[in-house]
Amino acid sequence: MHLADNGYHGYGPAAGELLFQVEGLSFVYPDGNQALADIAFSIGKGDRLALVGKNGSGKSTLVKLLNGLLPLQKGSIRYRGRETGPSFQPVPRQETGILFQDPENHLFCNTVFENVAFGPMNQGCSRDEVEELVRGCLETVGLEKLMYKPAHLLSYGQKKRAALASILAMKPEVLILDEPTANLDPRQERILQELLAGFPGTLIIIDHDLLFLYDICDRAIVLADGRVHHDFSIRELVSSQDSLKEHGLDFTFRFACCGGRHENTPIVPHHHHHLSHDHGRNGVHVPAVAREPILELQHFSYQYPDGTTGVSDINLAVYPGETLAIVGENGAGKSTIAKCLLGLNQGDGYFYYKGEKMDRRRRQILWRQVGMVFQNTADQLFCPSCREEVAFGPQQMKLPAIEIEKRIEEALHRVQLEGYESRIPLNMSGGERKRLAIAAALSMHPEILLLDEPTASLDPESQELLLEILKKLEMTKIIITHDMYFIRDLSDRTIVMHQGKVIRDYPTPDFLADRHVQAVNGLDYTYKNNCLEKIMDLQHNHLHHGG
Amino acid sequence: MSGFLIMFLLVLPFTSREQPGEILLIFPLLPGFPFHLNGFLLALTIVVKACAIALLMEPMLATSSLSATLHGFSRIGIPSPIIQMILLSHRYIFVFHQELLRMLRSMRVRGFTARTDILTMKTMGNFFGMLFINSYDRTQKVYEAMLCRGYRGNFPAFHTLEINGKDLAKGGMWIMIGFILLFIELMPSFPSP
Repeated sequence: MHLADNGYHGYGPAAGELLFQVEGLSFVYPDGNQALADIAFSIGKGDRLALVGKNGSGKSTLVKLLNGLLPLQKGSIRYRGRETGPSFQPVPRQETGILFQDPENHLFCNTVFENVAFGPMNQGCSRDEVEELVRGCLETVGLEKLMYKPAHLLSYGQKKRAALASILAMKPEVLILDEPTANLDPRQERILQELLAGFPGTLIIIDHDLLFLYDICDRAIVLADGRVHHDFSIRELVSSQDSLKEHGLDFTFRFACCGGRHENTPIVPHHHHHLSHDHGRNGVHVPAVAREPILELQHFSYQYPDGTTGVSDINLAVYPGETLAIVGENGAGKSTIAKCLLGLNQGDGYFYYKGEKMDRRRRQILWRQVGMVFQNTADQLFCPSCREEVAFGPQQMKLPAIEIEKRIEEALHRVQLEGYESRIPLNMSGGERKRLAIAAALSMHPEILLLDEPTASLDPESQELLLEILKKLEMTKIIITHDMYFIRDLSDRTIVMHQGKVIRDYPTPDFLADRHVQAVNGLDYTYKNNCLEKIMDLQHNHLHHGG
Repeated sequence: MSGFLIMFLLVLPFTSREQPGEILLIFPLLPGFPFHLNGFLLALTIVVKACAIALLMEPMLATSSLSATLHGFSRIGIPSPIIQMILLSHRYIFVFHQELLRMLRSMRVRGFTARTDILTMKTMGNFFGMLFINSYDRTQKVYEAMLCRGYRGNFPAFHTLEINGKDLAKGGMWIMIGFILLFIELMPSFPSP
């Protein structure tokens, strides 16, 4: 059941003072794209609101309007009962802190201290107050020891927390977070969740991950095509599978693979590599499996130019046709090992492709056989149309025009992007861009497909479609991910990385049962699994009791 | 910088204008390219001056944080927009450099090799276009993040600069050293008794 187009009669704000009252709000971008159309709702003091919907439904536009970053075009926004807008007092930005998706955008000063101090200093706080605030906020997010470190030297998770500290230091009444969990491992996600749970003010969170939102938020507003389609409690949202499906939020495809009841799986407490450490006549390892590996690293180590260890003494064989998942906490060396397998990182040790030793000069051969899909599609897509993007690889291979056309058609068909040939990649949704990046790799007919965090920042509907597409691809696949459900559904074998080393290499069912390794390596999904089970029960009750 | 300076040393001695009374060195195999001693001395002066500037930059820039240095610059009258541009450029140069490297890397793994043909020119055009769009997009987002944290056209001063007796003594000492050096340099030109 949808809300009336301009009437506000949903779940509503918490009892008490109203912070925001939005009425008849519309917004059209200069290119004619109607982002919001006549929406109305209220947000009360202390509300914990999840703002959800498909990519492009208007969520980010709405929070920018609430914060006054975008000008009011039509409709009204009242903040604490006062009209806001160009002819009135603007929304006090310092009272509504926004944490954007990419923490790099927040950390524009040199050191962590300066970044956190920027807001309070602009608010006119004294130096002593600023010092105290900065220390307090950095202690809250666990970064007090990195106070004077340059921002560009922090890890991604640390950057995210530093960005949050820079917002918290301004003591905002309302905290708005745009995709706070994107690219975070489960441990970092849990830290963030605890920080947000302890935030005393009003929370507005934009995220696709309903498992993350479930315990933090009490209310959910679902946006679709720039309109408020639902405004109800988070429990109602997650229990109504029809609503989830309708808005591309249905994550129940994840249940299908695992039955949800992980406690039924026997716990296997300890595992070791199954690769043999015997050495053959030529001094290199003899694989324990009789099959010839398609890619192999032996005693492989890589150091970054600044001396940081990327990976250390890696022994890894990838076999034809298998799907291998590489997991580990942020900074464990997963992406580094992917670049080693692609020959981009030239380290010490042995690297073989189909038994032939690879080096700097021969990696061109490898690049024709290994299709890489990078984590951020912005790094990969640079052509003005989908056709040109997919044709890029075959053109570089100097294939005849007819063959290139055939490959474009075939690749776009495999990722369900038929008819997108002349579309501009920059204007496509995150899910479509990810599929286009896969098509661009597939057009080169690789033997191996390497995907780095394929599900990051995708809505559940796009994730489900991606899962379906990847399942159908019959080739060797290497997937770097934090997403347990993708690992479970796609991979045959899982390797666990920790501090640049492969600490486990075993069949995926063994990994899924190995709670010890999951907990030690920041991959503890117990909390999410518990949420998932609670939601399953809610959906079950909703379905059978019509609740 | 060293490559640029070596070019001075190599080119200037062979290309400077001949002056009356100048010593020329004629190499047996290069009779048409005499080596001008005046040109060599000019190149040497440029190299030494460049090295002196580089050596001066080191204690000036490397002994305090960038923001403290820039705060000092603003105190001696350098306009605030220039200071802010330097600060933001320094912060984001690493980010843009990483983005550039990641894009180039993804092109290379898809078989891209730079050649002197139309396809390469088209590819590089797309590459720089996309890099520009991404950079513009980031600039917009950084500006929005700054506005959200109360930016009104000026960066707050993170450092307090207070002058004390020790600073005055150190400053005076350096000025004295400067005068002594100047005196030594000018001494030969004084008329001998």
